[in-house]
Amino acid sequence: MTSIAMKKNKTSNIIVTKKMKDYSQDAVFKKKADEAAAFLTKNGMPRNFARKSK
Amino acid sequence: MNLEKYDLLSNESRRSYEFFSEGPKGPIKKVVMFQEISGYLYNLAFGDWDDENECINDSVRTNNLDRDKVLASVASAVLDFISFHKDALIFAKGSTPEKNRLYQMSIRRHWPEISRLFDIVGFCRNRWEDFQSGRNYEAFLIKLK
Repeated sequence: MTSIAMKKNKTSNIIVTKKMKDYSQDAVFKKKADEAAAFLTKNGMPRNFARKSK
Repeated sequence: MNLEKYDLLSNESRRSYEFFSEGPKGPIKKVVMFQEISGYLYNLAFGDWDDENECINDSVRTNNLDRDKVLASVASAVLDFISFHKDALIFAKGSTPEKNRLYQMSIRRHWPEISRLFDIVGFCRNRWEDFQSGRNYEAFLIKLK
């Protein structure tokens, strides 16, 4: 994988890169997102976490 | 939390993170993703990158003998993500009940530090409740205090 490191915070263990594979289209990840949405639709949100739609 | 963890690679949106697990099975690429479900609601997804098939595998048990370091690395991704998305709600659900128990054990172990930063609720017996020990939760929701 080719990556360009932009910066690494001295106190952080995280390097930000401009080039990273796009995992959003991965089938497993998409399925998990759908399952999460279905779970919350079925079971709702806790009152102190729910927010009004903008 | 001053735990041993892997260095992470992140994209500019701070919604995807990669790191390499190191152990007897060699380097294994791990991917953490925060997938938007709605405007402020994100699903925390995590899995091994399968180079051969070019896809994520979230059902494998890697057994690279670095479980705590991997979990600390995922926690590091959560901290970084939420620092850039302060209004986000993070939904997390393990792919198996065993993984859910692992997550809640980790949360319980570091609860004093975690509870200073986050509000966490767990889903158990058909309802959401404030996180507490001794429960087997099906899923979690996390937000900054």
